Amino acid sequence: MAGISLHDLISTLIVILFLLVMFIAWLMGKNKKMPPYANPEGYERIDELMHRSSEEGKALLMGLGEGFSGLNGSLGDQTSLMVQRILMSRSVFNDQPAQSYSGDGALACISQMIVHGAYDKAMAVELFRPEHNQLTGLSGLSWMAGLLPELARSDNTGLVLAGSLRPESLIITDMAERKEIPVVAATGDISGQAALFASGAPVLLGEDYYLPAIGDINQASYQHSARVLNLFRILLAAGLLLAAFLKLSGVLP
Amino acid sequence: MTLSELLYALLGTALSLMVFSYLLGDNLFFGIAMYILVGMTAGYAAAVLITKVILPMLINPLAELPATSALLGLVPLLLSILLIWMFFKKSARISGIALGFLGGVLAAFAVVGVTRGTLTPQLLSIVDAFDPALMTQAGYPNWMNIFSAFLMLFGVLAVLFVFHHREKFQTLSSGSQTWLDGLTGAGQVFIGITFGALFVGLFSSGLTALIFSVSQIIDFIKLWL
Amino acid sequence: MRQRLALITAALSGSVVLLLLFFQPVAGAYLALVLNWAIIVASVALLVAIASLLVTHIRFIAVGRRGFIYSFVLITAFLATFLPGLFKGVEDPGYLGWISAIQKPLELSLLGLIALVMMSAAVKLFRVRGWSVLTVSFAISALLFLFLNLGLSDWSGNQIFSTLIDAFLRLPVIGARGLLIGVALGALLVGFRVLIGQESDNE
Repeated sequence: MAGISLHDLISTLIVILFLLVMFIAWLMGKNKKMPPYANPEGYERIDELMHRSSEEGKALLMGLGEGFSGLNGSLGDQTSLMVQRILMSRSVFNDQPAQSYSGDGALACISQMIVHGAYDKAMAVELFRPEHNQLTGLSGLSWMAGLLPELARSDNTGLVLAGSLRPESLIITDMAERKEIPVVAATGDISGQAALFASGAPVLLGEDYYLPAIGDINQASYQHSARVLNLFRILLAAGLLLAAFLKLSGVLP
Repeated sequence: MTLSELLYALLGTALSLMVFSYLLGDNLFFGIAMYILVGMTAGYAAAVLITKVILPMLINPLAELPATSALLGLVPLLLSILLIWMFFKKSARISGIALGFLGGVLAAFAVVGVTRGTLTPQLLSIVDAFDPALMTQAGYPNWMNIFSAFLMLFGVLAVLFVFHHREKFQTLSSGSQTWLDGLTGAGQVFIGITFGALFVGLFSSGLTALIFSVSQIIDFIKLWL
Repeated sequence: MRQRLALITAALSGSVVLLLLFFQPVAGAYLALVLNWAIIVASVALLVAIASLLVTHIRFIAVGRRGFIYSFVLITAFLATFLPGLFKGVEDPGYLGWISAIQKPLELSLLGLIALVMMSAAVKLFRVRGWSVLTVSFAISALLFLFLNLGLSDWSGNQIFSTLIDAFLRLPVIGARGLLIGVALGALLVGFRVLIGQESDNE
């Protein structure tokens, strides 16, 4: 411990504090009187697409992003898998099941396992089709290239883009617009958010992407996550103000 | 220009034109260009993975059995077999072990990466701007740096509170709501400025690529004229 | 059960790796070993996914699915890249030349196309998103940065203008920093949820 740097010390402190806040939020969640948080708006739009898909009997497409590579985005794909799990829990018995397209091998395999699990849970494994969960490309651009022709088919009702999305994904939203297919985009990549903001699609900005909650699905997880982030945000703000004051007064090195 | 160079130039021009045909609407040529890209990246990745990862890291070490290093190599081999099993039998529950292992390792690396690589450096740089040495210049206050440091602190907090989760049935007139709304408004201005700057940066690099692509096409046409 | 097995493995392996990362100075060799395993497993996963992709497209050709020509193109492009790579080696200059002769123009023209799409999206911004604090600040910022990036005017001679421009150029960093911290907190939360096996309600 003698050689620990300030950088490592702060990192460790953040991890410990964050775990502590997660625990406190979990305890607070036990109080049933706590008013619930509203779902992120972008995710509510996915709910509309899910209803539309089952009413029209057309397929809802899902672009899962380019995979587990990248920095912050590496966990973005875990979120896209959560979104897929939520979608699948509702669309197993649709005339056309939701179809997903991944940009990474592990992502494609996990996604396939999730979809199979959803059919298994609904005791309808015979309806599972592996071709509905495909790898489409192995980089940001080739993933996009593989998704575009699928989007161009006529029997789609909507597109959910969730995961590590590069700014180039704007071309996907453009094609969807041309085909009059509604799109919802959710990504943790800031440059992706900036580019997609210019499109007509509802975009989940900032940290909202990491808190999927659609309708009543995933509420327990979402309420806990939102409480954790709210508490930690206040803690962080107070910490930053205090640290700035201490630095200014020369107490901090 | 050699024959192969000429062929490559012809191929490049044709592919570029196929991509740009998207501007006329979605069409067969654009679809073909997209699938060429998908097929090629998949083929290249498969060749690289087999020759650079699977053979040297998974298969070749097995020749040294029963050495410890080779025995340790049996773990990824077993996990790989579980994954390949998934390809043949889609209901293979056991394949989840290999994928779970991968997901867990990635999550752990991401937690450390996010904390050490993003959170700590970003927070430190905000606080470091309040260094008294930066606040003065030749004994006088450096107003530009003082303003920048406070604006940075205010801006970051404002952006953070834009995403503060609100209760489903919150009353609009409560006092805490008013200051949060004000802060959120300021935060949105900073987000808008950042998105605008990022958008222009991305547009500029796209424009450079466009100019390069078009000039390649023009050069090829000139070659024949 | 199927996914519970995966979640337990994820939680266990993740926690072990987190501990190894924490005690990296003494556990570096073990960390390298686990990382090696992860690289191999990720590579195999990718190969399995590629095989699945090929099988699907071969099936599309076999049943004559609408647009099967695309599947034919994909399989041909795959074989034309995979087989030479396997036999000539992926570092062969001729092979690399062949790859870049196709990949480079495709990717560059796609990027160029995106510039055009971005331009058309920006023009329609207010029509699709309406007037709000976010859209107005986005538009003003984009216009000003575009103007500055084009380098049409030289303000270096004017002290006040150059100070103002210098201050303006720093503004995007503020928003980016706030967004990055927020996104990092979200990612941290998801990471811990995976590590404690509580990713979502309906695992």
